[in-house]
Amino acid sequence: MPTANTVLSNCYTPLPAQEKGKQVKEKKQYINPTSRSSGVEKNHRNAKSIRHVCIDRHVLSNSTGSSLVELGHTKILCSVHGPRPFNSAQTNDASVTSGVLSCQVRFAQKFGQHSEIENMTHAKNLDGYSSSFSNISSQKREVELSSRLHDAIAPSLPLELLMKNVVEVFVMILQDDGSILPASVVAASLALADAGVEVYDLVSAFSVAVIPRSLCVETKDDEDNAGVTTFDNGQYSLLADPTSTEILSAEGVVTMGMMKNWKEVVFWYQTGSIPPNIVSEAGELCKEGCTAMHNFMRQSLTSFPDISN
Amino acid sequence: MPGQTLFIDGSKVAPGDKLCASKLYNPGKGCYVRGASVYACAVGTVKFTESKDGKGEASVTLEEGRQYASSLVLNVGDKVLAKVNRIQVNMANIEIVAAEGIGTLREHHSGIIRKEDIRVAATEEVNIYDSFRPGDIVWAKVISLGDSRKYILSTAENDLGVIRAVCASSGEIMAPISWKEMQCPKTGVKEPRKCAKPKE
Repeated sequence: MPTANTVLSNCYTPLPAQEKGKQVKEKKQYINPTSRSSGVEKNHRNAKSIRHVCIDRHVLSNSTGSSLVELGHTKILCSVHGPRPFNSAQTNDASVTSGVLSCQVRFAQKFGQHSEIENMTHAKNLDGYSSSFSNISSQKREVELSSRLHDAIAPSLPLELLMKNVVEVFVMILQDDGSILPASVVAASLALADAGVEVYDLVSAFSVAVIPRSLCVETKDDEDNAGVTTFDNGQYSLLADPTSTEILSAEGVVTMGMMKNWKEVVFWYQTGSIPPNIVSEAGELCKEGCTAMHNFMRQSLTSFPDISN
Repeated sequence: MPGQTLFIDGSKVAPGDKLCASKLYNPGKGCYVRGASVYACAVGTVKFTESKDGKGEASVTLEEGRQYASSLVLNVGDKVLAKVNRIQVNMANIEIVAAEGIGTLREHHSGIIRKEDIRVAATEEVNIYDSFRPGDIVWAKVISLGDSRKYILSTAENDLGVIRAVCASSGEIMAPISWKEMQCPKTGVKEPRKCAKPKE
């Protein structure tokens, strides 16, 4: 078991209101890996722990299946429709011998992103690329996330059972505080299972940020963290389940998707330049995170009321 | 076979849960085989049924009010209930609303009945206008999955064809009087149709 000290609890906590006309800070922030904000003010987490997780399913009555996933302030709503016949726009990739999975990720208008964070992530691109795409629009991020989500979910679906039909996955990002890709994958996998769509296995996903040592500040006096050893790799330290501020300070981000029962990695997405030995350690931490997420997913799925007969 | 399964009968399972060895149980609905084990592929309660010849079957029953996505998919040979939308010189465009074994479909699928698939014999002489009219409800059978848009259906069987049609002049529901005609009970007007053999 990972050192995750997470409990399933509802965690609706609003972000502090933004002052209008405030100057956008481009400066990288210092991160304290032994005492990170967890989404709920009084609880602090260490480098390896996850934020407060809240998972619920069947939250929308009009869709075949739906789910709500929260990782701290990151909130994702997912709905699944289908199987349904192709509409005219989808007939291009339509095939008679197998079904089609269609994924769409959308940011909730005005609510999806923190305005300050938004400007900064746009300058740095998705999950910590430091690149020349400085003005990547929200729409381009949506297209990119949709395609990543499709890549992560598709291996778990036996589409040959759904000939001439399409299963549509709609993901709405209600609030973005980092790790939206893994949260979306978890939400989509849950919603598909909730919809009664046959899936080989649940896909759980997890992100790890690699922070340069120069941006880390340590607090040794904290009693809670006395026994905690952070991932210390000389130049870098690893942070599980990063928030958007942590992603902005990160050198790179590794996102991994796993089908836990099959013990197979179905998805790997990495940004930034990270040395190979750090990547493999980040992969190990991702694996632990995926296992923890899988437990939460399974717990949420199997807690339905007994059928009376 | 107690002790041979990883879950007890009736316990709740999630997709990907390993249920039992595939040499002892066959995979039923909601299960699949990978390697030497049977796994669940849906959320529900697991059920192990034993049979006399030694090899039982494992299956997953979904929660109340859920349906398997794959059970809503039409296959070749399925008998469906459809509504005629439009007729053309060589085919009728129809909308599939329900299927035998599935029930009402959540969303309507479109399909066509070609001229040569309407009746069993005399395919050359069949006239679409003498067989279907827009608004008719027909029993038909899926004979091909067709292209990406449409299913191809057939009514070339005795019990397939129009089961409900409205008289053009009076608006009354007509009754079949022969295999190719229907009559209005009010006005006595006869209209040509490809009638389905009425069920006793």
